[in-house]
Amino acid sequence: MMTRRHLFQAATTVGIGMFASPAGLAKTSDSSMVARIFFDSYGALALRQAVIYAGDGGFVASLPQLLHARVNADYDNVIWNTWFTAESEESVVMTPQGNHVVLTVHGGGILGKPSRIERALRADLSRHNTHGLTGQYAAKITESEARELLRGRLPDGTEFPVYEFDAFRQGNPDLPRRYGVVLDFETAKKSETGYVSFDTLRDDPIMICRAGGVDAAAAYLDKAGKRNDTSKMRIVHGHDEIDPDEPQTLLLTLGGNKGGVGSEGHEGLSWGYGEDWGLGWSGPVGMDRYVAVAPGNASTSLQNLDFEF
Amino acid sequence: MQPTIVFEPHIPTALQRALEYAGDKGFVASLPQLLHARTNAPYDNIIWNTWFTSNSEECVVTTPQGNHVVVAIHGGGILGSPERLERSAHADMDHRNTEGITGQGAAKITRQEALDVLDGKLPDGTEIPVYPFDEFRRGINDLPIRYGVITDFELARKTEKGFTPFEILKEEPNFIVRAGGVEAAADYVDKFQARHDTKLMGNFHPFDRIDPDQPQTRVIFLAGNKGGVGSEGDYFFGYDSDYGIGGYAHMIGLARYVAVAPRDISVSGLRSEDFEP
Repeated sequence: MMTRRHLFQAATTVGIGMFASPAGLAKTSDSSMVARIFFDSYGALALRQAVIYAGDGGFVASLPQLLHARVNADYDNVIWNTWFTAESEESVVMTPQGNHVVLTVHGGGILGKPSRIERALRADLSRHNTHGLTGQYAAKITESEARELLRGRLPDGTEFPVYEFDAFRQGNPDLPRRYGVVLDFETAKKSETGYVSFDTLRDDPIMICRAGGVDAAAAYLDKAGKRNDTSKMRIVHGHDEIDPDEPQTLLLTLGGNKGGVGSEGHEGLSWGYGEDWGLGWSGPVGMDRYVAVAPGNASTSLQNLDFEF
Repeated sequence: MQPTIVFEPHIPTALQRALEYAGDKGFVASLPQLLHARTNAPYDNIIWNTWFTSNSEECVVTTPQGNHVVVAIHGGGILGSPERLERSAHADMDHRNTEGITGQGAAKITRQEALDVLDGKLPDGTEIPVYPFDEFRRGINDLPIRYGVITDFELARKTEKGFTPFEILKEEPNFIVRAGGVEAAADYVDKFQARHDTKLMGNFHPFDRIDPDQPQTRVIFLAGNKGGVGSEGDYFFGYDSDYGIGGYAHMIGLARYVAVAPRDISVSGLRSEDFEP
């Protein structure tokens, strides 16, 4: 039985090298970076704690970084055995030309700030409002936020590169930690959702965007398939049930449970948070579990001290 | 007595603040109290125009004889304490665990908690009267704010759910228990119907989609939106749907309680005119 305290203790076994994806690797793989798990039943608080821990020299792990960590970890590591919220999001916005697109931002987008999540949660929760949450619990974003996001700019002035999906699919060896990928909304809407074969997922546009590229997706799918010799996993998007005229942003999540039980589906009642739901999405409502990585020295921390007489 | 609305994006925090406001002499409104307030309020009052979290819950437990029952607690039950809510949220979420949240979003409770609630004993030591449904249906004089009603699980499971005609609702066991009695149910239904001269109201329950062998409890939510739009199910989509009375709510997320407490506004209330030069 794994309690939150156990997860917390186990966090030290999530080696920092695991989280370093391509370009981030060179900058972050030194041994003085320490990864920690931040869970709270109030998600905005979990993110706030993770952001504070990460500080200027660290980061909160994006979905590509979480998947990268899994690829490089043993199956008995906590990274495989519970679920996580990623510092990644999917926004549905309209281009200046009037086309709907899905913009995936990794490494901190609009909902990368706890205060922005709070703003959405504390807005008037009427469907007629331009703030707050959509009926599917996505955070409504303003036209201005949507427009700026497409230009690779966050409300706090942070800028990041935004790639067209076709270019992104070709591969980019120098991906930064924070970036965006633009995918045509109709393509996203038609992407697979549910329990999907690994072979299909390798070419699935949403899988490729969420995983951080074709190679990253393939590496993760190979590792996930070998865990319990399975042939499919779950990936879920809600693009076929939303109003794309409403600019909105959702968080991306990574499912997991002890042993990866039921990752191809199971019979009977839902297991809720205990499902291995694969790659999912969530509104900024409810509990969250982030991984934050920051400079630290494990040898001088409390982790290895003996407090028992 | 002055009521106040306490909203938080986190149920335990909302409940904590509501309890602090209520203090020893006040209360956090149960579902019967919320419905009573609506029954006596004009439709443009806020009580009709948004959703609320009630201080009422429905526990599914097994009796010592092995029968499944639903124990509704009004006025504060097992989840009437923020600490107990947090305990569920911070437990291991493995579906095999005996603590935490069920796959359907209810809070798992221990066998002991389940047995105690059948006897009207709550985790904080409070003892409350618990009435069998048949007795409750006939009417109880001088109902206290805090009490329980036991309904056979099969009866609750077979109860109509969804958007239901008012005349049927008046006889529905779950609705009668939720409303606080036959008369209270009828009064609320009449007032609800007259708002837009509608024929249906939502009343949902989870009892046909849970494992009754797993002791569990869930707080009940009262739906509402500005104007009572779509209250017959014609806009059943998202958190601001007017779905009537819920039953599926996950014990994680947003909450809006009403707390009521003695306050002397003449000495403690702030008046806007005092701030104008």
